[in-house]
Amino acid sequence: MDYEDNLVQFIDGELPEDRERELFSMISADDSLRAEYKSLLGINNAIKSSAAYYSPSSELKAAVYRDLNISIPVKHVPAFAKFIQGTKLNLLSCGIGAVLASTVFFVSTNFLSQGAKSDLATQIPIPPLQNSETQSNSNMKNNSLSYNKQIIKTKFQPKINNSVNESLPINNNNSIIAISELIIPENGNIIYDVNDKSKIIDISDLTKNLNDLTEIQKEDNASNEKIGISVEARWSTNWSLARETVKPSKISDFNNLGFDMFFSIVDNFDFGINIRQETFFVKYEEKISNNLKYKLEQNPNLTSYGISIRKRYPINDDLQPFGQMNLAINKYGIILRPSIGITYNFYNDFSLVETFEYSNMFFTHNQEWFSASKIGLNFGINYKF
Amino acid sequence: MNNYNAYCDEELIPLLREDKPICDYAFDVLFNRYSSKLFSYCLFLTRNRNESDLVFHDAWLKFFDYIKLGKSVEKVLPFLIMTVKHIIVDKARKINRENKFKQELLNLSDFDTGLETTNKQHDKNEMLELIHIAVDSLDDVYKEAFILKRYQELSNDEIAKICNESVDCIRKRVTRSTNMVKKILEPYINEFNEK
Repeated sequence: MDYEDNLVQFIDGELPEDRERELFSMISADDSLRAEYKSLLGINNAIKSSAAYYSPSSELKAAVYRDLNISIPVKHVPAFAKFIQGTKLNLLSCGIGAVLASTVFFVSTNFLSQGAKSDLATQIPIPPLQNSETQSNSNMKNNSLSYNKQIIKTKFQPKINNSVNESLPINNNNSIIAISELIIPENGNIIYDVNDKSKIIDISDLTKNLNDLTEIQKEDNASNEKIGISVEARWSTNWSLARETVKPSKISDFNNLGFDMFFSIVDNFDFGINIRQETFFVKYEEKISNNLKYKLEQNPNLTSYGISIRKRYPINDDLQPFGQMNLAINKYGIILRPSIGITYNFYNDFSLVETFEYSNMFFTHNQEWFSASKIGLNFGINYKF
Repeated sequence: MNNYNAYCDEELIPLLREDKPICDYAFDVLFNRYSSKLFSYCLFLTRNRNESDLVFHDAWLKFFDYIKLGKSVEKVLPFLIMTVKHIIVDKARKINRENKFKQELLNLSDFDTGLETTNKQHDKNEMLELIHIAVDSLDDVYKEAFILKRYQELSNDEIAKICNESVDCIRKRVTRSTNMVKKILEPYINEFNEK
């Protein structure tokens, strides 16, 4: 019966197109043929959906793997992995948020600092010219000021004789030079005797002091720019405390690199967030059946995200030993990492960092807890903003 | 770990000769890919779960050794099926049990111990058992063609190589065996459809 063969070949996808059309027209016209077609589909689907019934037992699979010396690659999905997978975006957004917040903080602080300087320079009122003879005379009498007592307690209120025709010195930014209390802090207001030409403010003296003033202001402003944020890049070398018997199947290009961002909370006390690429040699057990247990050893390359607390014990401005505690998570588990180290400020805001650390990672597999540990040395550079 | 699941057989076979853990991953992918199909074939041929376990186990060992020797395999499943056939024939020769194999009735309970027992599942199990009975009633040549085509999902070319027959011959056997099974099961299928 040709049509029956056609039905089978059609189900197997082996019927030529012209015969397919012919078959369809027959199916549409013939109820019995349609029923046969449904029967064939039912048998085919029943067989296809029964694949799971023919799976070998886990004991048989384990026996094959054991005799071939094949390690069963375990799909390790501990609770933390789910957490990480579920919150990866959140962590990413937190990281981006932290960086943005730091940037905004840095920029705004810097801007305000610059703004203050700018205001200082531009908003200094040009001292009102004063030719109050009586006042000056009385002041002269009362205070017996010498002429070189030019500046004063009152901020930015020098009184300049209107006979002075010299223009005020201009700095590079075309703003009027600021005269702050930093110049010569002495008590009393400056008063110029209009009758005494020699007592007129000597602008050239001010100009002469300009460089000193600018330097002082620079130093002053620079010290104010410290916003308590530092970044740190570290490379580490590690030794697993259990001797490694397997190598990682794949290592990230950034393996053993770590990046930290520290925020100074209070004096000598920093809080940090960090990301780090590292390997852990882990050993754990997989129970196949009641009397069969596999001991598994893996060396996964992991990305860990963590927070740190660092307490500094400065010996001097350049040398600062510290103690640190880091708590991190990755898709395997949770890491606790105490460490001690030292920073050495070698150039401006750059410091060398060396750390000795002990890392212990706790992880679960099939509701059992395991741990892996290692010690390591870190070498890095810290930059303070 | 790379996504070895995306690799085809031809890419995975050379990896079996690599060091650990690459060869482990490659083998695991191949095993997961073909174990069910191979095991069902073992069950159909041996009609006995314990025998199936032994044959299945030996087939994978022979396959792995064959690859480790540096030899190449075009298609993994046909090779494994051929290996199973050879193992069974060898065993049958040794212990002269071929007739005994054929006398044993193939029960679904041989296939899996952890079958679900919901009503829907019960019907499905019953249907599968009926299919097994129908397949068992076929002549050997048709039975083999049917099993390899429907359960192992091999192409006519691959079946032809395994059975050492022409592709046309296999196509006819597959068509006829399928129609035979359908004829046997027709009354039951109608009953199932009415349910």
